[in-house]
Amino acid sequence: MYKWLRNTHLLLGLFSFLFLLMYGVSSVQMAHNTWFDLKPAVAESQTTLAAGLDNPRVIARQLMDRGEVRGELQQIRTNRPNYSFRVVRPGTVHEVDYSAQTGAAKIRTSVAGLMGMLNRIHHVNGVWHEYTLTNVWGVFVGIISMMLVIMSLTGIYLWFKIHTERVIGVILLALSLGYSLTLIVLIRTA
Amino acid sequence: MYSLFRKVHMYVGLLNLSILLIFGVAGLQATFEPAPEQRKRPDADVEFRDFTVPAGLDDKAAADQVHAFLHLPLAAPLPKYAIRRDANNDLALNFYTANGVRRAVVLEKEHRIRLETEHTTLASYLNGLHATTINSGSPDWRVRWWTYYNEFSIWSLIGMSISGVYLWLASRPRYSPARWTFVFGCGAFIFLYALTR
Repeated sequence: MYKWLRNTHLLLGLFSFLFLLMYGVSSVQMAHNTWFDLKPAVAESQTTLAAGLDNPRVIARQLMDRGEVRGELQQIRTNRPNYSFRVVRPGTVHEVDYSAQTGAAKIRTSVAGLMGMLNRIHHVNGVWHEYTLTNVWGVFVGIISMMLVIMSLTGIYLWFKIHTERVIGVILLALSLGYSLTLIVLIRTA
Repeated sequence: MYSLFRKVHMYVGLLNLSILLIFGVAGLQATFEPAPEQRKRPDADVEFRDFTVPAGLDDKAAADQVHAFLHLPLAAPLPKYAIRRDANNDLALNFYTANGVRRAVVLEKEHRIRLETEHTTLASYLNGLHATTINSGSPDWRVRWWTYYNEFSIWSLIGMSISGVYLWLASRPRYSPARWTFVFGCGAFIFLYALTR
């Protein structure tokens, strides 16, 4: 049992290494946002589609088919005959303004740097997105979270089996649980 | 060295047990969260409180007065960018805490505030706690103490991730399943990152 759980703890930890590091580093960035410059690189371009398109989804699809944008359609704003919307994937935002009169589509693309990208990946949630890659990240969020729970529990078991570490371990665990659970209850009941 | 790292890895893990479980629950909650349009807003209590906005205040100053008047537990004063007016041109203030959101609409002509309090589920609460970091700016001592713990846990997560890899390399570097798992996990991350980029 001990050996099996030790291997499980090891293998889950190694599989999730970069994911957990990403969560840790992006959390540092969010907790200390003044330490980092998250200014994205911005590029603007223009392309011409057929005039008179009156469905943002069709406009976005045409831009995607041409390889101009990639991601999930969001924040559609209609100001007939013009349409504005965003096409978003983690770390990249395309802001599109389409004029139905001329067919001109202006695209403003913001690409985040490494820290901005990690921040966006950290915030991916759910598997309901239209963009497949975002859903894949969403699946990994679930897998890594489950692994984190299992690692925490197997870690407790592995510690407990080391008899020489029991006393200090119990003291640390009591301190930690006493502090955190007290605050969890106090904040919940505030 | 190995023995020292193993001890530190273990002690830090014990000190972070509850918050690591919270991180896990927050991630699972995020995974199973429905699409925004399918989300059911939690039940809310609505109440009214008599309040007159002092004359001559701008929106930020009025929002600070409302914050001071309501004495909402855990809530910090709102920054300027979070202060807005709704379609009726009433000052609409959303005070977010780990316990959920409290929406205050200042009905100036009626000399009162409409206060809406949403009740979150336990999972949402834990999700909110996991996101309550040291820059939350809450004036409440309980939240502040929680943010210290959260800060400690963030650095601990980074430390444990790195020390975990070290412990593997220092003890069983030739353990084949570990090698493959490490390569597969890192490969998946790098591949996805590159593809998303």
